[in-house]
Amino acid sequence: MPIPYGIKVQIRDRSGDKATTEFLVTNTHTLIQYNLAIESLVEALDSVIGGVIEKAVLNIPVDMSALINNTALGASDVGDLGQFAFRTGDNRPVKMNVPGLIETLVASDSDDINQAQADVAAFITAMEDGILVTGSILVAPSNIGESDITTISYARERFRNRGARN
Amino acid sequence: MALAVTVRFDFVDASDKKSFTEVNVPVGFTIAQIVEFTQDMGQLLTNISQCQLTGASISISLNISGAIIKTVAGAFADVAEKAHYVFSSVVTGFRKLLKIPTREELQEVSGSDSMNTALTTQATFIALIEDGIVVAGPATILFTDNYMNDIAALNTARTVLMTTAA
Repeated sequence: MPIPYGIKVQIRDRSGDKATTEFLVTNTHTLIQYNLAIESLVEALDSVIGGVIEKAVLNIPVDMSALINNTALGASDVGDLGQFAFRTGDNRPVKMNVPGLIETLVASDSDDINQAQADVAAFITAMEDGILVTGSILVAPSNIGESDITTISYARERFRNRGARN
Repeated sequence: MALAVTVRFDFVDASDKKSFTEVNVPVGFTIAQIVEFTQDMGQLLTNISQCQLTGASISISLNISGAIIKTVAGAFADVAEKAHYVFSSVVTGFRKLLKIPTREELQEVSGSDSMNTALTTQATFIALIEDGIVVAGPATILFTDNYMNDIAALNTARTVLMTTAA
């Protein structure tokens, strides 16, 4: 089944309250074409509303059906986090919490995640160095300001209080 | 400073509790390249998590800086006052509801909760949703229902007032 892309538009009213509306669109176009279309959409929308259009975001659902070993194990808990703290090239911190960290990845008598373990090392390398995609293009993670993530500061197990457990 | 692309990964654990994590990547990549990055990063996350990865999506800010739109909300603009536009799609029986916040009272038919679709502003907005937006390529970005069926025609357009806190 084809899944359309969404264009989410955020609108602010007189009181400063915000709401979002979403338009679904065909998924066969380039990012440049979506950027070309957005002005026509927001100008037409602006003319029928009283609020101020603050931003528009293209939302793209991704097919993840090819993942391997993707099941929730009996002991899984989204409150058990693997917290990975990175630094960008300009020394800004970037934290990432991975829900449901596998317990055996934590060093014994410690809350440190074993960074030498193969799967952990692969994840850290992808965050630091990026992932090579088709066409030998390197897509490398950054912070929200586009500063490249270069090093890991620490990786620890964390627990988030989610209330009583069954 | 550009705003990076955000890739979100959703997880669920054995107790059906949900959580997510996010990775940012710089703008400048094609949609296909970011999708491939997302799928590869999803596998790396699955390898270190006991939870099931249930979905992933990419959010890309669209540039509306060139659009000619209002910068101050109307005196009565309220996000709880929405215009509901119901469109039928090209497939019989399928419909799409657009909920547009901060509807303009002056664009209603007097003494009614129906939007005045004869107004130029309303007609322009509705035609754009029905016909799509032509962009360079050339290509037409079509608006769709949840199953990516092209939106065909407007059924109803009326005001709905939502409940808000006192």
